[in-house]
Amino acid sequence: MKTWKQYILLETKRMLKSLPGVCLGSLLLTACLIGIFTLFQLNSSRQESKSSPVDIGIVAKKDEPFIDWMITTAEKIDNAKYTCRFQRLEEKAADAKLKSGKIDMVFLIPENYIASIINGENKHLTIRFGNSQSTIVSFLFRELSHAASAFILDTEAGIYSMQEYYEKHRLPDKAEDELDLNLQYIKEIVSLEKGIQTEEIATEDTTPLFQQYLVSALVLFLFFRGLACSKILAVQNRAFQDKLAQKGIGYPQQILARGIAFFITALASYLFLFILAGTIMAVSPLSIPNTICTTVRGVWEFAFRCIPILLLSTSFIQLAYEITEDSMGGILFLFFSILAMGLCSGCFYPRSYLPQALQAAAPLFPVWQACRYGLSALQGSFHAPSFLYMAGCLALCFFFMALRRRYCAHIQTHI
Amino acid sequence: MKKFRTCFIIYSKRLFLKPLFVFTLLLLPISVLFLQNCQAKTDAVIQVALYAPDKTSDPITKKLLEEMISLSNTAVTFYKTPSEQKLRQDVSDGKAACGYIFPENLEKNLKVYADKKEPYIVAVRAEDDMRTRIVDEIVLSRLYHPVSFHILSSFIEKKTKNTPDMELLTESFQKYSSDELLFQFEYANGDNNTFLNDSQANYMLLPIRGVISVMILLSCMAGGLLWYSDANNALFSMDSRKRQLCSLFSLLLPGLYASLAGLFTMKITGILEKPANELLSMLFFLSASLSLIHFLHTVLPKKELFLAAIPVIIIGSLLLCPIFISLQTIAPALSSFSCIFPSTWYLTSLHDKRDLLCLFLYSCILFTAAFCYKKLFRHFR
Amino acid sequence: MEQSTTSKELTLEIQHLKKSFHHGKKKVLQDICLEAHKGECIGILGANGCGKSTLLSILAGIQAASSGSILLNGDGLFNKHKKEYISLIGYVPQECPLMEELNAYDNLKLWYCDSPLSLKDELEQGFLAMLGIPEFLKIPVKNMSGGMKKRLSIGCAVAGNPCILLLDEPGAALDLICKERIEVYLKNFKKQGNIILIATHEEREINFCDRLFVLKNGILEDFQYNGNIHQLAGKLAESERSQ
Repeated sequence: MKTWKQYILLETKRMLKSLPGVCLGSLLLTACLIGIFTLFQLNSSRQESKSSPVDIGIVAKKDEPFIDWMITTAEKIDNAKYTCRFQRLEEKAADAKLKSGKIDMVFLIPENYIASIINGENKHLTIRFGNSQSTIVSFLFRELSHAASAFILDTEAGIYSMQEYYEKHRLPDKAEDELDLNLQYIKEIVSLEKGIQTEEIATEDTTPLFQQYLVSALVLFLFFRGLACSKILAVQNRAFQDKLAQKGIGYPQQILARGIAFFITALASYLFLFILAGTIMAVSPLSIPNTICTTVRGVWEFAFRCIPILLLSTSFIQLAYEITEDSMGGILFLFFSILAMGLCSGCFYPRSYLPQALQAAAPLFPVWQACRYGLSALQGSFHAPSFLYMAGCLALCFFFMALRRRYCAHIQTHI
Repeated sequence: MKKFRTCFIIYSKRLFLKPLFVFTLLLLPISVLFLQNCQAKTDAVIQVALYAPDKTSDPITKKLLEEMISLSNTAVTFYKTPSEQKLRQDVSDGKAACGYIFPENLEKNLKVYADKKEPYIVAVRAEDDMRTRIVDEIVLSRLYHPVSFHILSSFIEKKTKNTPDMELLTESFQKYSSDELLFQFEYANGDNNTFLNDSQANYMLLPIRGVISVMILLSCMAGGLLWYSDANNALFSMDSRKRQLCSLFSLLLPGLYASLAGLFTMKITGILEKPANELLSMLFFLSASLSLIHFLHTVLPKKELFLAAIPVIIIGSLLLCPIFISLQTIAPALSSFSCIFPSTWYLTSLHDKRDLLCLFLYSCILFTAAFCYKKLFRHFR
Repeated sequence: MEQSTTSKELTLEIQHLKKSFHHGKKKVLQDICLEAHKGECIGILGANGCGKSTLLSILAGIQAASSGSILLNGDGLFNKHKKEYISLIGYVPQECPLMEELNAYDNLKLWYCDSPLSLKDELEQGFLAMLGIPEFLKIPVKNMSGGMKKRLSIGCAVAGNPCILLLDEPGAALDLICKERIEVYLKNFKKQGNIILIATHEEREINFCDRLFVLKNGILEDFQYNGNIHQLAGKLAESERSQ
């Protein structure tokens, strides 16, 4: 027992020796995360509406007829007020703004566009996005383009049907009535939402998206830190392990000792992170509204409540390195597994966006349970099922590590 | 040449004898294929619930609902609920972003709407945000078909002061109706955006290219660790002529094989657009990653500091580069930091030759910086 | 059972020890029989890969034998009271079992924390002082020379005040001064009535041994060394050919 305790102390000392390097990495990472958080906060306070509209640049020839009228009409559509903001631009200016991110997309209006709609030629309007990969926003905007096409084409169908009807029945004032019908259709499109009666209901999930992402960021941070820990968690040379085993500290005890030492080391840098967060909160007006993190004391309470998440992350990281026994393999395996778990747990995209199969599997992942627990900690409450699940994961991690070590020892001495 | 080939084979063998490295490379295409195929027909970014009383609904309502469900895709998918209560429950649970309740007699309600502008359907939602607004427009566009017909028939009735020939009108209207898409999508350089132009494209594949780039970067960093270990074990002391070549292979090969696995993954999932452009971008990106790792290795003398840099670079890449979200509109100031990471340039270089040049310059700058640092500070170490 | 450190009674007996790997396909030790008495130093020679390290690790309790028994003073101690047996053994493997990032003092603390010997006393005037460990007490292991690491390993191994010392190639890659120091220590250890088993290739260590055996075909054969290095080389070559 005495030797085991001494071993724990020495392992902790060994791991703490590498702490400055890991701390430096944590410091930089924390600075990045706090920077993102600060900007999110500032951005959200500047917004007047709940959702941020998409900025669209309209590019057309200077003498292109009806473009300004088209923009004004589109702006009158109630839903468009929430989703889009239009501005007319020159092509070069639009490309520059698109590249710098000042606008999200550009509509390239072809020559005589309105005329082509009227005469049924239906020239295609090109929507130009930035050069980076498509995002969910652009993906959803594609659906709006289908809706817009439907409005235009159904209106055309109405006008052509009217023309055909007038021709067949030889009715007078065809041109005037055509204009009348056009205006009626346009008026109708602009006020279509009057046909919908909206009913708002209470939702069970009232957690703001921002809080979800904040907790996800913390959980991912605790897990991804393991990428820096290959050296301190590298398994000691076989001769040393055997000697410890000979002395009575079996392989499971060695794993437990390393786990305790690693947790203590991780706790030191975890506290360092919250000292930083607390200091920033004390000197700036930053806070997370509707949570316990509105004061420095609240931040520390949150830190204390999240210690089980830290424990889970350290055991998972240790499991990765114990199983792989190779720093390169451990790093790649850790990255892949955390990324996969994070994706399925809604850390990157909201969980509701994921396929049903993944949504159903998400609660099985420790990252999801850690996020769930973290969210309740943010509200100052305790989510027992997540806590129990994490405790179970912790036990499983140690079980697998012991099994792996036993297997290695068995291979070595196998008859 | 022989020396080059021998080193290449030995270092490759060394890598492939690490089972977990091979396993992770294989896992990449397998997991992406799984992600692509685990999506059921009813899975989408936004789920919308629909309800209409089955037995008493008029034909228009039934046809409309069937049409909306058949037009479901990976962006927005519609499904029917057996009751209004279930619809409200799904919206409350978050299973559906919003829901629409259709009346028993939609045709009658549409006529009333045409005259008096009274609502004819009920939209149930928990939150009023961009998603629900987009869905509103989509639903309205579907409803606009019968609405536009009613406007036409009412208009003709008013003008002729007679009940119009509905059969003729209906026939004409159906004849001129179309489902054509009047918009096309492209990148800023004019390249066709094949992803958005395909209505059945899987949105889960959106971040894959970015994730592959981070994986390649991480593989290069893992190679950097091998380099540190080899230096510690004095592997290069045996033959200083081979030192440069050996150190190059330590860094290059993990990234190279990860790149090949990445390209293979993109090919089998169909997101590989223009092979020549992709290869060129990948090559430049690999070079940029190597330059970054080489620079870090030169500047950071200790393995611990290099290890500490790994999560910073990886998490920085995942958050700041436009892999999952684009920070340009949310936090433009932060997005300028994303230039530090080669993944940012890689993701835009595919459709912008200027960014390809930027990747090249990135490599040159970092290699030059490492060289200058070595020359200047060699004496002080 | 109380520790048999009384010199008069110390006898280590190995009876028909066998060890094989890969489900019996590779027989490393076929029928090892050996008897060591108090104050004896026994040398085990053999070609590389013949099973010397395996034998020592079995005696140290790290690996299990396929069959056979190990008796201490006539008692089947190994089989019945393994813990007590282990506490009498000091084992120095070929690779140094040390924590690389920590210094010598920390490594010693680990093994001396529950030792009957006082670390402080040993450093001042005991075995550790004899090995010269106080000279490099605060140096991290990763910065030590091979000789320092080996001396430290021996120092860690004797923390439990063992009466049987198992050494696997203790002199490998050491300079003459180091070897001299270790030899002095071993002489002293032997004088106290303890047993030493050394697996070695070094002539100096061979000369130090009271009895020699060559491990050949998994069996220990008596070997009388007459100081002729060529005779020794020939015997080892014979052992290698028979593998």
